[in-house]
Amino acid sequence: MRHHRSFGYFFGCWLTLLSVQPFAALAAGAPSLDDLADALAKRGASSAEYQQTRYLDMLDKPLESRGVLRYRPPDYLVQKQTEPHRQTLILDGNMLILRADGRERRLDLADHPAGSAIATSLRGILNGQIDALQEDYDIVFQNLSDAQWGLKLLPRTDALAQQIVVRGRLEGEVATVERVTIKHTNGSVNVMKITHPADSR
Amino acid sequence: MKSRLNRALVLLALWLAVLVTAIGVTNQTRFTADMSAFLPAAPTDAQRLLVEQLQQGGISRTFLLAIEGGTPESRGVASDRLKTWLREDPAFATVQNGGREDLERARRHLFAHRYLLSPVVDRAHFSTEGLSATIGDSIERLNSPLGDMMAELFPRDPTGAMLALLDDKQGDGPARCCGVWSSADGERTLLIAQAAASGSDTDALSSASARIHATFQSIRATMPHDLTLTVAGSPAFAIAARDTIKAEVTWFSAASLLLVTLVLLAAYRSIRVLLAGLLPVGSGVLVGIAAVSLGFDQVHGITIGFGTALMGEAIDYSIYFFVQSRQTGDTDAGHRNWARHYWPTIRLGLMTSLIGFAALLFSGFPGLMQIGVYAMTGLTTAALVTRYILPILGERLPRADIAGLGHCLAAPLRSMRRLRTPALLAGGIAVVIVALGGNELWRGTLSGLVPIDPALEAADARLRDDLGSASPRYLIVVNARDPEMALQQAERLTPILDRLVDQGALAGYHSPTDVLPSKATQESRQAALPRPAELRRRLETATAALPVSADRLEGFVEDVADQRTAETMDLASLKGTPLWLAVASQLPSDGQDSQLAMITLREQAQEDGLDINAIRQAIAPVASATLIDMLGEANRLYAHYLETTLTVALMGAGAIVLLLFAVHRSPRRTLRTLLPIGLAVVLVLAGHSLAGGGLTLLHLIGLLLTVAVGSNYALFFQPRDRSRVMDARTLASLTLATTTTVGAFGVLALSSVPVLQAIGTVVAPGALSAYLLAAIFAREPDAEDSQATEADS
Repeated sequence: MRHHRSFGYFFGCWLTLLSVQPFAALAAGAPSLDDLADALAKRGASSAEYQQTRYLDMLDKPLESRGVLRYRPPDYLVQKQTEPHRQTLILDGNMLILRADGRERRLDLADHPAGSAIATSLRGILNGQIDALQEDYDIVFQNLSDAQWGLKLLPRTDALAQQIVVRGRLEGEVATVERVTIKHTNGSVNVMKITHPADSR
Repeated sequence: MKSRLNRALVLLALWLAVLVTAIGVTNQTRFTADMSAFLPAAPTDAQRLLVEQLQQGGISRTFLLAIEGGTPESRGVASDRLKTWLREDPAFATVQNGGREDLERARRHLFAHRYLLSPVVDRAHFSTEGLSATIGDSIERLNSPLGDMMAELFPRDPTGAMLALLDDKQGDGPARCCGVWSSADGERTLLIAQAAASGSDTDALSSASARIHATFQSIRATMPHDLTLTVAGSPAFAIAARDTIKAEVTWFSAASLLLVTLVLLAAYRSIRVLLAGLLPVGSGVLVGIAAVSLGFDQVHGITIGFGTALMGEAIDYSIYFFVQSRQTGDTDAGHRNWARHYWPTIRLGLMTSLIGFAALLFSGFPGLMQIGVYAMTGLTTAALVTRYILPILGERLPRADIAGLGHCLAAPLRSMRRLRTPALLAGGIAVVIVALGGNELWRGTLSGLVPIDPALEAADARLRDDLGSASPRYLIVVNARDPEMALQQAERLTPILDRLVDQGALAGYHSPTDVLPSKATQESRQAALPRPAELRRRLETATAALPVSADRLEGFVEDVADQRTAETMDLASLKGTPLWLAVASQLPSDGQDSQLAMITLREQAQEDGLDINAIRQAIAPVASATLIDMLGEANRLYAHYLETTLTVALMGAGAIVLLLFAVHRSPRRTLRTLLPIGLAVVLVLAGHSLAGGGLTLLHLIGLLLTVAVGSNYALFFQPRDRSRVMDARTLASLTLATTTTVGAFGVLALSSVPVLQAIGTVVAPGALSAYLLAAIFAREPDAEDSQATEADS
């Protein structure tokens, strides 16, 4: 029944998960987008802590929240918010499930075609299938200084977000994503910072 | 001679006049196959509503459709096309598949009327404090994982009225796949199609069903994948039952008729006699249909089909006449002799039958009442035609003498008298079996009256499960003069039900006022909305401590202003959204001065039924509200009718005893007549008890028929006049009559239509036992040779 268009945001959040795993393939020399895709395809289940700041156009001050992100290949994602309120958002296949206040709400991505397009695309990243991604986004892959890399996604269709920027780090055989920034068309900006537990590095 | 001729002419003229009238009436008759005629007519309001809902309610004309096979995408496309095509078909009032644009339309409707719909809207909600609190909550929600979705709504709905509306009132509904409703596993896409016709118009439902299939076929032809369609829902059952009944009534009646004809042809060895023998039955059928047609709106197909079997007894009459009146060489004398000596026995048999069938009139099932009227008028007509018309026509008819059969049977039947002790013993054992069977013997539920295809039943259960629309068991019904009053009454229940939900007595409820509040409530909510200038002023204060400034909420001010002065909603304004279907089906009206509103209750998952009394007590303050347990009500209703019919049947039995006693004027002879009938009944009951019981009202009706038919046998085996002991021709005619009865009803026992099958499995063995037992307990002849003397005279 509910219909919303800002899907870009939380897929953006989940996108950060891809960074949690070691990117072994990137170890040899400057990584290319294909190297990244190969590395992604080999990912296993992962988990990371996040801290998120929302800059909403209509609000005078930003909103802060934090929690844990989990990913299980090929298409199971959990965002478990612990502060300020305990809430869990799950993407399981095509179902989006929000658990809050002892209640469960379900949404079918098929009812939200635009959101579904993003989900398919982002799932493409998580699966290492960047081809799918390139249908919906112009992708700019950047090798930044100091072992950092970036991935800029510019939606081609029905803009849900003006821009999604993923930043990561490559250290030895381990690549991580440290930040995802989503600029919404309505002017809001979400910044999610990812902290990786020591054992997953 | 002349006066006799005149009398014959008058009788013939009278008969023909009656037949012509009956044919005239029959031509005007509307025939129906609506199985709800075999649902009890209901005395209480609650039960009347139940039966009405079963007959005509939204459920009774709602098809559940599922599309399987192919890919998820092709199923989704097929679902959308089927919806679009069926919507253009006037045979359907509404078609829903959970399609995106429909849901969007519903959402837009809800959003555009959120301040008239939301129960949170009152003056406090729009006070400065209220606004401050609710806007603060909304800002917190913006910081949830789905916060960006909330952000879309926030500028126009900063108090979260829409969210409250959705959370409070919208269940999860069916699962979704490919943009439409689907089963949880996504393997089937689902649609709901409500026919425009009444749920009792099986013909219209059947053609609607055909349209669905035809439409789907043409859609499938355009699809790359092979898809299959399943059609279920109440109308599918009604159609399947009707088709089965139609087919089986036709086939089994034809088979019975053929069997009876063959037996009679073998006995009479004359087609003319056979045809003449069918005259009483034919007249009975015509007059019976005419009588039912005059007494009821329409004649049920089952009445006719059943009646054909019933006419087994009427055929007996002509058998008795043709066989027994051939006692002497002189036809005339034979007729007079028959009228003097045999007619009284037949008349007595007829009267016991009429008493038996009269019980049907009290069954409370319109269908069975029809059969009662049909049987009583039909049998009386057949008997009168046998008595007064056949002798006139019969003068010229040749006929075979089947006394030979009687002679052949005389000795074995006589020797059967030695079986009296074993027969009594068997009867005793049967009584014990029946007594031990106890409550198991009778089935206490309404189910099983109608033939149900197990495959369809399984498909239906699956689709209902998928749609999350189990047929509601518990309903609260309020009764009022008009829709507005009904909605107001329903609203008075809402706080009570909310309390019950909080206490855990209920899992939830669904009221039409969720989506369509009464005009009064909508207006009071409008009155609670502040004017734009005032709202701006309050927002200024309310947002002072919040991270949002009032000037960003101008959309909210606009929407409140719009809805403050908007037209209130009525049922018509919901048309075109999926909301209409839900609300309209909860607001049934008889179109005159009675308007109902139905609230469906949801019980807690693991509980076995609701605490009816607690809820009754809770809703007592709303005088017009009644809680109905549909299942319990149906079962209670049925149990009530079973009980009534049992009582009436027992009273009928009592009346038969009194009648026999009055005629026989001897307790001993009365007992002797009753003994074979009683034993036959007990044996049949014991047999069914051993076979697992589960007897229904229909079996009871079968027992009445057994008594009716059996009493004839017993009476003939216990002749009135002590000097006229059973002769060979009587014996032959009884044997022939028994053969036709057992044959005709035996065929019915093979039917899958419960009505026919029940009657068959009771009457066929019952009639056979009655015949054999009547022979076993037949009266001893005074002299050893009296039988031979009688037979040769």
